[in-house]
Amino acid sequence: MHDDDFERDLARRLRAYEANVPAAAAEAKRSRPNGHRFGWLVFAVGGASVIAAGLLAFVLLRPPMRASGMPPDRAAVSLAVR
Amino acid sequence: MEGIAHLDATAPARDDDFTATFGNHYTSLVRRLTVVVGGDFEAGRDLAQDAYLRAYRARHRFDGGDPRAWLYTIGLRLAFNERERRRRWDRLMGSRSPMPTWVVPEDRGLHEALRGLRREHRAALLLNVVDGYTQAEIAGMLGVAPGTVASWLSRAKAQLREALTDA
Repeated sequence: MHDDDFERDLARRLRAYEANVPAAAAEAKRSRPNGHRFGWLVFAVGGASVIAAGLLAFVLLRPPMRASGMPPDRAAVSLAVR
Repeated sequence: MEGIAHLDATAPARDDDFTATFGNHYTSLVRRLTVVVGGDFEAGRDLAQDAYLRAYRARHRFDGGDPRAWLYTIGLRLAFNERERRRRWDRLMGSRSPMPTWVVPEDRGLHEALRGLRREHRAALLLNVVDGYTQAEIAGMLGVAPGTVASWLSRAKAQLREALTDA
């Protein structure tokens, strides 16, 4: 191919290539996995996990309650006697 | 340099004038910068926005010549500097820039061939082959000697010819 022919063809292809850029960018965005789409789900699951872990820690680690007064069965008996 | 001069009475001083003069060239600037940076559309758009803002701030320096050449001059110089800035930042921080949106137009052969060129070569080639600017005009726009542009164009065309003939 002569230089002139090559440059003419190159110019035509380059113009078409540039003109196609916005459409190709839109297509690339559509086909790219969207990290924002599931961001809220990750955030919600993470938050729920933290709350559940806090509750579990509270239940497991709280000090045992001290027994005070009469045992329940004795209290019931005394009320019945009255 | 064509399109750039000091204060001139014909410069678009008002916002309406600026939009009328430069607004039509914004889309082509986005396309051009996207191709020059190798197909990263978001980088191209960011650079075009930055160039447009800078052109607006410096609108009093526009001499009323070729508005597209003036916008391209600002945008392309930003594109060259941005690459260096990004490289320095990545080296300093040991980090990689965010994942770009790579554009892959239909003409894959040309796309790959263009990506094989240096950024400056791509810019000079597009300005010459697509827009028809002379080597002297391109030299003025890119801030280099005309001989450098001649060398860039020669190498870029030879490289593309080889790549596209092989493909």
